[in-house]
Amino acid sequence: MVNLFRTCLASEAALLRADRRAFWAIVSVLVLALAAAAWGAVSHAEHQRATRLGQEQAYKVWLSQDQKNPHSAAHFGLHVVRPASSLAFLDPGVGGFAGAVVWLEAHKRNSPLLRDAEDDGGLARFPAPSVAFVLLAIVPLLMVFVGYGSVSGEREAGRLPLLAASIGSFAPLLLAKAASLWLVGVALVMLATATGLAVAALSGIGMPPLARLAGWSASHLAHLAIWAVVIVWVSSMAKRSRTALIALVLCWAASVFVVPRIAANVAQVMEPLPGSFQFSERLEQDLKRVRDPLWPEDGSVSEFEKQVLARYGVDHRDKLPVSMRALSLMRDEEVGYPVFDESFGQIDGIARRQERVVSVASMLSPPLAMARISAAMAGSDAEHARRFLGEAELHRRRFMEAVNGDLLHNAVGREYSYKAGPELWSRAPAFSYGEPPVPWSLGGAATAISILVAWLVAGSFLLWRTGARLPVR
Amino acid sequence: MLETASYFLHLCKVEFGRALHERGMRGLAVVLAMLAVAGLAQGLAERSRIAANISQAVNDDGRRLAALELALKQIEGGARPPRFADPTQAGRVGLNLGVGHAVKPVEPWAALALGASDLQSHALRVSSGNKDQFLYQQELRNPDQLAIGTFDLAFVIAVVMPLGLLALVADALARERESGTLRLAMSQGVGEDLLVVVKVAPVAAMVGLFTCAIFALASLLAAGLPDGPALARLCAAFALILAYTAFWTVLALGALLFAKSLAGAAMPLLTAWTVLVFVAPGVMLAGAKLAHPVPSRMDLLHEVREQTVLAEGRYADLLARHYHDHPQLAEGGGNKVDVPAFLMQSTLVQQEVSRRVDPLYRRHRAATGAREATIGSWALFAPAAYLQDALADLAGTGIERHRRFIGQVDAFHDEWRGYFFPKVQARERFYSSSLPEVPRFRFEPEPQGDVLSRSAVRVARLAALSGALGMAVWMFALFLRRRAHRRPIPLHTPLTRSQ
Repeated sequence: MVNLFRTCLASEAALLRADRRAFWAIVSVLVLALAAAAWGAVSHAEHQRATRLGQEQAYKVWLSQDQKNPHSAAHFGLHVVRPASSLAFLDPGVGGFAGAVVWLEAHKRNSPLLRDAEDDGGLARFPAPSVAFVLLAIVPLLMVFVGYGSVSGEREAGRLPLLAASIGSFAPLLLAKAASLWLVGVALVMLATATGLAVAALSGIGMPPLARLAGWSASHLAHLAIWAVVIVWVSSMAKRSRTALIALVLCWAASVFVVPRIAANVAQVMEPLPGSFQFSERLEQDLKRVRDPLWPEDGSVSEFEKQVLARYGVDHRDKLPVSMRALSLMRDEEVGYPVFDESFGQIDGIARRQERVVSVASMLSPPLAMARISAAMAGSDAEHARRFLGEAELHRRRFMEAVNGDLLHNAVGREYSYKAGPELWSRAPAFSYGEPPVPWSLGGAATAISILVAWLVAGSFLLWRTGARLPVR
Repeated sequence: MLETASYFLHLCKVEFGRALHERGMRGLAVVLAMLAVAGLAQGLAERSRIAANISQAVNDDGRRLAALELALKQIEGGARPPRFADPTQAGRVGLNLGVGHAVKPVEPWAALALGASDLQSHALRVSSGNKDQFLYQQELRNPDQLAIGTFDLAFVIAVVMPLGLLALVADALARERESGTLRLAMSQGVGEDLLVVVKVAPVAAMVGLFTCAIFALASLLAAGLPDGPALARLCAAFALILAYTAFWTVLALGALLFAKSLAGAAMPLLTAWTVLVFVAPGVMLAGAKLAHPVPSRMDLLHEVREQTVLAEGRYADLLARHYHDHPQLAEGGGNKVDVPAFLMQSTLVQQEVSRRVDPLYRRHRAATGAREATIGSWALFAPAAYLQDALADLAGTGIERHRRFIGQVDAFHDEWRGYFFPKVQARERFYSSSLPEVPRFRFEPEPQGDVLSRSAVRVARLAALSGALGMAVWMFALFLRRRAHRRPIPLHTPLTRSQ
């Protein structure tokens, strides 16, 4: 059986090499893939440089502040910038649609700013020229063009009965046809990835982690294997090549462009995000509820102040060895943390459920499952964007503790007139953000990975069984 | 010649009637209708979402103003002003207490073509703070959903309809080869080239008209019976859809006339569809970014902050200079309040920052506008994106309307500051009687004529592109006729695998 498979594979590869139409189609897609790889690498290098400079500039502006009250500086705050992930030059994912900058300021957890896609007008809704898009959408179409007549053509030419007589079972033949078709995809994945890496190295981007790169490439190869299996299966079931071509093209269009968008619609209906104003209004009310008791409007002593006075054993704030205002400001921040965690946690929960709905819909669309895996491995999916926001918020809390904390002992007796300067600004921690480990990245795409594996196993099994019972006429 | 022409028209009529009953045509009609329903459903849901958000913003404004008026009247009646939110301070009213939203209303047709509306903010909270505090406000969206994109009626028409048309056309020719009735017409003197046209044109016309019918029905469901202006927009939409259909028809004719076989025609057609619909827009955007690099908004943010730090450092000078230039503002009197230092400082600092940074905002908007104009022109060669943009423009979700909104918000921000900053700097007390004078934003949409003019230009460009392509196809066919190197699709030759 293995020898038969090898013989069939060699024969199919020779046929493919001799097919001029296939040759030119492969060359065209290769040129597109290489151009996308080069563009992605150059854009990524520029983006990396811009985000690095942006973060440095943001911190420089923070440090350049003159003498002022630390709480004023806390309101001035700091901007932090999300760096591009190491494989974003191969798959930009949601990068252009997730804000890249967060303003860390006192009392507030802000949403991210500056979606790059806002500057792209109507073209923002079309796929960016990336290696991932070429491998997800264009290469499968190429494989359809090359392989749609692989079995139906044999049937139309009357060669199937001859083959049946000589080889007995069609199963190895079908698998060999699928394998030879898959090898076309393999060559394109390897060449596109190698080009991207080469241009990235020339542009000054560091070498991405090998585990990530290997995982990303392997998942694309698995996706293309599914297409190879499906194409050969459809070709074997179709009476005419024309029917196979139309069916495969419609499947391709549906799975690449229609199912994902409809799935996203359904996800929005099933798990709607609250409106911006509904969210911010509720957040404002929740914060008011926990913060207002710290700042009585009528100038009376708050419960918190009473507790502090009792703790220090004094009867008036002026006798405290620490600044009451500083304690109140720090308490103000602390009581806000659970409110922010709950409110933003709800939003993140809804978003994750939306993504789960879309992932389940990828049972109908291997490219949709693959898109999620590809972005997860590239570190450019929504879960990575959320991780950055979580890290930014944790940094904001540390930052405010450092800045407000300076008031605690230094502003005693001069709560509003006390000023600090660059020595405090430089003590406030700088922000740094690193890519998570690969297992963490894969966790967000677990459903999609299961679906892709199921497609591959089921498709291969179906192809094998079909081969055993293939109608020769 | 006349006989041939009349026989040709007779054939077209026959084919048109036949196409009406073809299974493929009915199948495509059902698929298009189902997808149109799905697209319209999403469009309606998204429109409702945006409208609900706007409504909440407007209600929020109403509540805030009512609370402000009540608080002012209570203070005027003798109550003590609150410590942290004193409404008699004009600075606090301008910065927070009296702030409202600048709203861009959503048009009824937005349900048909969402454009980039999910990337745009429809209600911006404009205060006396810096421009970056409202210009960069974003709606709450899942970036994963944004990246996948919307599925609206415009997408169905721009992306799915051409694919269906090409499949129908190829299928119709294949069946002609198998059943072979039209070739009998060749005996009447009708050339094979014209036979291909006879087969293709009725199918294309039917698809185009059916798509227009779907659009008309969807607009009825989304916006009710059209009045005069809406009817004009509907006609513009029909013209766009028909011009778009004509483009794909000419493309199909070109491939079918010169291919040796149907498979040989199907591949280039599908390749053309993929490239024009999905590859060209990305390439165009990349080219536009190279041709028109836009100043980084992050750099703009940092510049604002840097200028703020510099201005804060020079606050004493700014204050002295301001009162030197406006001595009347320093006078005391019964109408005056003690303005907290940070409020006074913020007005002068922000004025100084605006003086230095507003030219940068203008430069950024000009650069973005230039890039959008370039994209608008080049997008003709990405026809699907071109059509979607055109339909979005008619639906009021296009980039032109949003840019107009942002420009008006920018001007309103200056007007808002122009009202409140002098009051703060003159230390004037804010009264409830001042509330009716406070500027309020009202969006001024552009005249319908401008929108229709743009649509007319787009129709003309699409028609010109189709015409140029048709002319090229025809001339190439003539050239080949003379050279006799190729024959059109042999309608009677069976397909083989090698083809």
